[in-house]
Amino acid sequence: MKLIAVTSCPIGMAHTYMASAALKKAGEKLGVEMRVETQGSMGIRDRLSSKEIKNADLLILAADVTPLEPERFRNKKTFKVTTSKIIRNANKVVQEALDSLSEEN
Amino acid sequence: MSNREGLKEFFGDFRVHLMTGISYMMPAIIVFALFMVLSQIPGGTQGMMSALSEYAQMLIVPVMTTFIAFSIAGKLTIVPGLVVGLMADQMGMGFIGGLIVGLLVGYTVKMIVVLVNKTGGGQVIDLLASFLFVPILVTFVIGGLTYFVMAEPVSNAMTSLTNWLNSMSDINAVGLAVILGAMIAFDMGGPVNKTAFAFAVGAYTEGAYAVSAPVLVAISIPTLAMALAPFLAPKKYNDEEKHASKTAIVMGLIGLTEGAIPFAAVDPFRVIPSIMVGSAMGAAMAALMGISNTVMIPALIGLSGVNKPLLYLVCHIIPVLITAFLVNLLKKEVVEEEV
Repeated sequence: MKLIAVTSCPIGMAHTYMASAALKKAGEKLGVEMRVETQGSMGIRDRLSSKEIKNADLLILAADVTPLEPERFRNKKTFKVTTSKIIRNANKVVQEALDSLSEEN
Repeated sequence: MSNREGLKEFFGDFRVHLMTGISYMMPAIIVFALFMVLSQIPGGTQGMMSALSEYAQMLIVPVMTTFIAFSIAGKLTIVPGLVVGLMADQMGMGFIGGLIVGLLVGYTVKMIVVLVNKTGGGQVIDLLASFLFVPILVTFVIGGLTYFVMAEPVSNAMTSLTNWLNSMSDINAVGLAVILGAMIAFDMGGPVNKTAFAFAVGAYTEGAYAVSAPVLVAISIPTLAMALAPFLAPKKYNDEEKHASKTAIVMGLIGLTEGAIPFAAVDPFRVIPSIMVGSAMGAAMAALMGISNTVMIPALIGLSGVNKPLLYLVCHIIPVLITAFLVNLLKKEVVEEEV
């Protein structure tokens, strides 16, 4: 299972990166591949390539502010969530995201 | 897609739009405020500094307007947002006016985009829409609405709101500071915190520095208190928390409430009430002592715009100490868990 994620928050200093770290940790724990792009105060970091976006099963969009270059993710299956929810319990969020996938199939 | 889902998709998350506007506006506020401070330094650069500060101030509200609209409907909103946002602000409509105009521009453009997409697009229609129709029509319609209909009532309302904020009696000012301060600590950078912060930004852009300053004081207290608490009672914190307390020192000094999150995640019912008490107290003290802050920046950097620097520090130190003691009093010693 390949998951990608985008995190962003209003000030772009704390929540963005805390959520990113929490997602990576949760990905490891649940045994799913997790690539996270952060959109903090200095813009996009660890940019997701178009290949990564194409090959991913699901996008976890944790954007507290409107994400940059959203057209890259057009038609991508998306699970929307807030950064605070991820920071509180990333394992649960990732599990919910995975469940939303299997529900559809 | 049902009708309701369609509407939800069209309007999006209102809060996300507002926060996007504020997010892009913050650098303009910082530029305005810091150059204003620098323009106080006598010498040859004074004129340049105050010019920069003045132009930055003119852009604060228009930039917010533009990026609220941008959040709703993307690139096409930028010019109408800047033009009408600047006009609205210059006509005295302030923060609230900028917010209304941003929403109107955003949703109008989005409506046009949806209609154009329904026709299937095509090069000619796209060209007409993006270079002629949208910029001119939206600027004209929303601009006209702003100029003839909204400017007078909104600017009157803003004037009386500002007068009210600035003339608030001590008790009211402290009460407001307590509520806003507690909101800042409640979810540490989450939606409640950002609501209080947005209120402070609004007061700030209207020049009510005495209302915004207590909120800024509240911001770093939770993080600094949680940086301190583990040093005072190491047995009550696990290793991860002790590690987080070191990061929290830095985060607290630059003014990020988020540094308290790791502690609140472990033990929310003891930590959150304690830091709410601390932030409310710091804000109340700042309101009582009449602290104002001409730069919209918390913590250490904020010192550059504070009218009473020593009392400003006192408003931080005392609540931080009390919060740290309070949380340690409530907490029990950590029992080593078998993993």
